[in-house]
Amino acid sequence: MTNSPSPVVAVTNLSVDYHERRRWVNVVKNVSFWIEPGETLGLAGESGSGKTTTAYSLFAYRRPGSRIQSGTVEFEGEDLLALDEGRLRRLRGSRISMVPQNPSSSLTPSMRVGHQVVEVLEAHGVASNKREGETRTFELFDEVGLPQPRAMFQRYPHQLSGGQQQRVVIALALACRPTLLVLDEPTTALDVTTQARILRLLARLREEHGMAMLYVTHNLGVLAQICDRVAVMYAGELVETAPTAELFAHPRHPYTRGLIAAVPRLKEPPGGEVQLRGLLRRDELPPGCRFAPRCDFADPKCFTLPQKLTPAGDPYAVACWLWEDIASGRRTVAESSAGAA
Amino acid sequence: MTEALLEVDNIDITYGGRSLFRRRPALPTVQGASLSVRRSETVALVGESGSGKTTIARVVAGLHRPSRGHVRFEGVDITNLVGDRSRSLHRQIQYVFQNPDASLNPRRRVSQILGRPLEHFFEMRGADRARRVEELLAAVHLPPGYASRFPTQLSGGERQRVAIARALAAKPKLIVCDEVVSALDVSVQANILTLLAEVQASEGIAYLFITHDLAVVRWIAHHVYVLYLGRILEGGTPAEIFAPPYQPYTAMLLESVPEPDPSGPLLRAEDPTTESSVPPQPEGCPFTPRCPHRLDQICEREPPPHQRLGDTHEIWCQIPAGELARRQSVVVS
Amino acid sequence: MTHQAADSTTVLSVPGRAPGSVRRSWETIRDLPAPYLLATAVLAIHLLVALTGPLWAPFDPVKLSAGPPFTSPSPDHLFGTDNFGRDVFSRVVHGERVVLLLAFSASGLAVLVGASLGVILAYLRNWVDESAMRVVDLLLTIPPLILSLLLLSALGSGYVIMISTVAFFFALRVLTVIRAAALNVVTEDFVTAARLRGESAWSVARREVLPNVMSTVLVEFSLRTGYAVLFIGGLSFLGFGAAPPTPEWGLMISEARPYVTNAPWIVLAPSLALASLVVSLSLFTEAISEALGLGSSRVRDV
Repeated sequence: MTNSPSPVVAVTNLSVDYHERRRWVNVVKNVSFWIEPGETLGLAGESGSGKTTTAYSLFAYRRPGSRIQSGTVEFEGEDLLALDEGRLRRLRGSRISMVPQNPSSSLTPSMRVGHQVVEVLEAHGVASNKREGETRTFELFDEVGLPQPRAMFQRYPHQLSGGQQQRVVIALALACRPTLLVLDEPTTALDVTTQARILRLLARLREEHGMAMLYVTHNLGVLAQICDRVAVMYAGELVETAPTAELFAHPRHPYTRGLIAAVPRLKEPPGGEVQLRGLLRRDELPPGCRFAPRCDFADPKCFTLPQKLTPAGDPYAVACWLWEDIASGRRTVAESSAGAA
Repeated sequence: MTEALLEVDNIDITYGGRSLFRRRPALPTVQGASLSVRRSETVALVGESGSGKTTIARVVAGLHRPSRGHVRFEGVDITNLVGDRSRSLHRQIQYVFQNPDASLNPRRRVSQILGRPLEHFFEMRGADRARRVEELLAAVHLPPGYASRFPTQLSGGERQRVAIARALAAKPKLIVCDEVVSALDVSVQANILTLLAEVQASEGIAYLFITHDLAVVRWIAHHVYVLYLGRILEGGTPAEIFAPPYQPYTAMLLESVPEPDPSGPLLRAEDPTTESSVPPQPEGCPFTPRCPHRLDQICEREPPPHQRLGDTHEIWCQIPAGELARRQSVVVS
Repeated sequence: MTHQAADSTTVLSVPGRAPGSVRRSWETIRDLPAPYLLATAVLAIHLLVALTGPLWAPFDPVKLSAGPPFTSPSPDHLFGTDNFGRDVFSRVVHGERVVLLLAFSASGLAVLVGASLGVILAYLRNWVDESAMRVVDLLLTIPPLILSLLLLSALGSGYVIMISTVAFFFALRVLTVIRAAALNVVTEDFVTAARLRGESAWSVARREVLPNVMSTVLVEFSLRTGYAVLFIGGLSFLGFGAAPPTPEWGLMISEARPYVTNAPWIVLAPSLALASLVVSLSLFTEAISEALGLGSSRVRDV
C-alpha cells in the first residue's frame, strides 16, 4: 500500500457519515492514503468532496453530527481513531497541528497573541515556566516573519492584519515542533499577495523543520506551488493520486482532467474540449463511480461498477477502469445519455 | 462607437463620519478614480481587499455618493443616489452580487424572482410574463422547470445564473458584476464566465467587472484597471497590463498569482522587499511601504503622477516607465 | 472583502429543500417528539373548548344555585360548585373563551404594532431608528405589572384599556425581536437588489423583508399569547382585569382563595386549566419554532 516503510501517517479505508435531516449521509468513502516524512501531500477537491472532513479525521476529531463508520488512522504506531480523549489531547497541538482557514476565528479575541502561544507551550510541557515560554514565543514569531516580536507579543488579534494573524496561527501550530501539520485552506481568506508570502513562509519552514504536511485546498494553483504529491477527491472518494508535476502534466481521471482545464490561467486562454459539465448531486449518486453522471467518457458499466484507487504505474493511482483508454485516445468523448446538463 | 457609456470622473469616496451618537473619523476610501466603460465592453476593476473596487461599483450603482467628482451615464450626470434616480436609469444599470446564497430571496420562487423586474419595469403580467421568464431561463441555460423552484433547491452556480437572468430581465445596457465568480467552485466559474461572454455577444451589454482574480480578467476583459488602497495605479488592455513595464504593484500582483503549473516561479522568487513602517500620507502613493522601487520622501508625500504609455495604457508612478521596464523582468510569458 | 470558497461555507452549495411553508411545518410537527405532540393536542383541545364550550356546557356560568354550594366534584357537577352554588365546570369552560379572546387580542395587537414598527426601523437604519431604540430601551426598564396597575387604576379597567395596556408592553418586546430579525434580512443582497430596482420602501418591506421574518412573527405571536394569558390572569387576580361574575380564570382563583382548605376544587379547577393552557402554549411555541427552522442552524464544511 505504501512505499516507505514508515510513513508519518497512514489512513486506511476511512469512511465518515454526517447526520443530516434525520438520516445519515456518507461524506467520505473508503479513503486511503499516506504521507511520508517531510512530504507535503495536497488534498484537492471542490464543494462536497469530503476533503475537510478527511483532514479533521487525522485528529480523530469527530465533528458534531458525524460518525466515523470505519477506517484507521495510523500515526507513530497507534491508531488514532481507537485512542481515548486524554491521549488524543496530548497529541493534538504537539505532534499533529492544524492551521485552519479563518485566522480571525482561530485566535482567542480576548487574549494577547503572545500569551496564546505561551499557553500552548506550557500545556504540552515544551516550556516549563513563563520566562521560557516568552523567549520561545519571540523566537517563533521571528521564524514566521512577524516584525518586532516583542511588540507583537502584546497585541490582540484584532489589531493584526489577516496575514499577520495567520502567521500567529502558524506559530501556534509549530510551537511544539509537530511531526505532521494539517492546513485547511490556510490562505483562501487572504489577499493574493499575502497568500504568496504565506506560501513562501511555509516552504521555508518546511525546509528548515522537515515536517510532513497535509495541505487541503480547492486552489490548484496553490497546490502546484507547494505540494509534492496531490490526492484528488470527488464526492467523498479519492479519484487520483500522483506526484504534482505528473498530475498537472498528465491527469488521468476524467474529473482531474476537467478540473485542471477549468482553472483560469494567466498564460493560456480557457477553452478546449475538456469541460466539466453538470454539478454534484449528492442525492443521486450511482452505486458505481460517483463521477459517472458528469463524465464525458462514461460507459454504462461505470454507473454500477464501484471504482477503486488502483496503481497506474507507481506511485500514481487512479480510480477509473477506463483511464488507459482515455489517456491513449482509444476512448473519446462518449455519447452519454445519462447526466444533467 | 467611441463615446463612453459610463464615465467615472475623478471621484473621491469617503466612508464613515455620520451617526447620531458617534462621530467616526471619515476615512478616504477612494481617491481620484477615473474610468470609463464603452458599450458592449467589459471593463475590469482589479484589486485586493481595501482597494476600493467594490466601493466604486456601489457608487456607480447609486448606493453611495462620492464626496467629490462625477459619474456620467450616456453623458448624463448620475452622481446622485439610487433613490433619486429615474426608473429608466434603474433599468439600464443592473447589479449581480458575489454571494449567490444572499442575492436571491429564499422565500420566493425563481418565477417570482425573475418576474418582479418584468412587472416593475415593463408591467408584464400573466402569460406574457411567464413566457419571458422561460426565455430568460433558457438564456442562462437553465431548464424551464426551474421556474417553480426556490433558491435553496438550486446549487451555487445555478443561483448565480438566476441572478444573471434577473439582471437580464431589465434589458440593461450595463451590468455591474461584483466578484460574481469568487464564491463558486472552479469548475462552475468557467461556465459562468462563458455565459457572461455569450450574453455580451448577443445582447451587447457592457460589464463593469469587479474581481481580485487577475487570471479571470486576462481573457474576458477589454480594459483593466488595477487598484490599490483607493487609487487606480494602472489601466490598459490585458495585453498591456500583463507585459512590462509594470506598475510596481501590478508586478507584485502578477508574481503572486499561483499558476497551476508546478514549474512556475512563485516560490523561487525571493521576496526582496523590506517593508517600510512609515505610512504614506493621504496624498501620497498608498503602495509606498511595500514598493520595492519606492523613492523615500517623494512617494509617500506626493500623489503618483500619471504617465500615458499609449492610447489605452496608463500608469501612475514616480518612476518613469522606461526605468521600470529596465528594472523588471517579464512575469507572464 | 475576503474571498471564501463555496465549499468552505455551507452545505447549501448542494441543492436542498424548499423553505418552510405552513403545510411543510405541519408535516414537521407531526414528526416531532412526543411531548410536543402532546402539547399540540392539549392546545387543540383548549381551542376547541373556547370555540364550542358555551354550546355544550351543562350550566349557565353565572347561574347561582345551579346546585348546592360547596358541592365536591360529582357526576352532576364535574368540578363541583362554588360558594354561590355555581357549576365550576361550566365556569371553567366559559372562561376558556374569555381568557383566549383577551389573550389573542392583546398579543395580536402587540404583534401587529411591534412587528410593523420593527420592520420599518430595521429598514431605516438611521438616526430615527437609533433614537427610537433608545426610547424603547428606556420603556423596557419599566416593570409592566406595576405600570399596568397604575394605568388601570387611573383609566378604569375596561377590557379595551386592559388589552391596550398589555399590548403596549408586549409590543415593545416584539419590536425588539422582529427588528433584530429584520436587520439580518435587510442587509442581504436581495434586498439591495430590490432597492436598486427603484422599488419603494413599502414595496421592499412587504415583498422582501416581511416573508423572511414571518416565521419569527408567528413564533412571537405564540409566545406572547402565553405571556398574555398569565399577565391578564394576574391582573384579574389582583382585581384590575375582568370583573365578577365573568368566569375569567385569574379572577376565579382570586375569588376562591378564602375556601382553599374547605373546598379546594374551586381553586384547583381554574388553576390547572390555566397551567395546562400556558404550558401547552409554551411547548407549542417551541415546536413551531423548531418546525420553522428557527433552531440553531448548523454550518459545515465538507
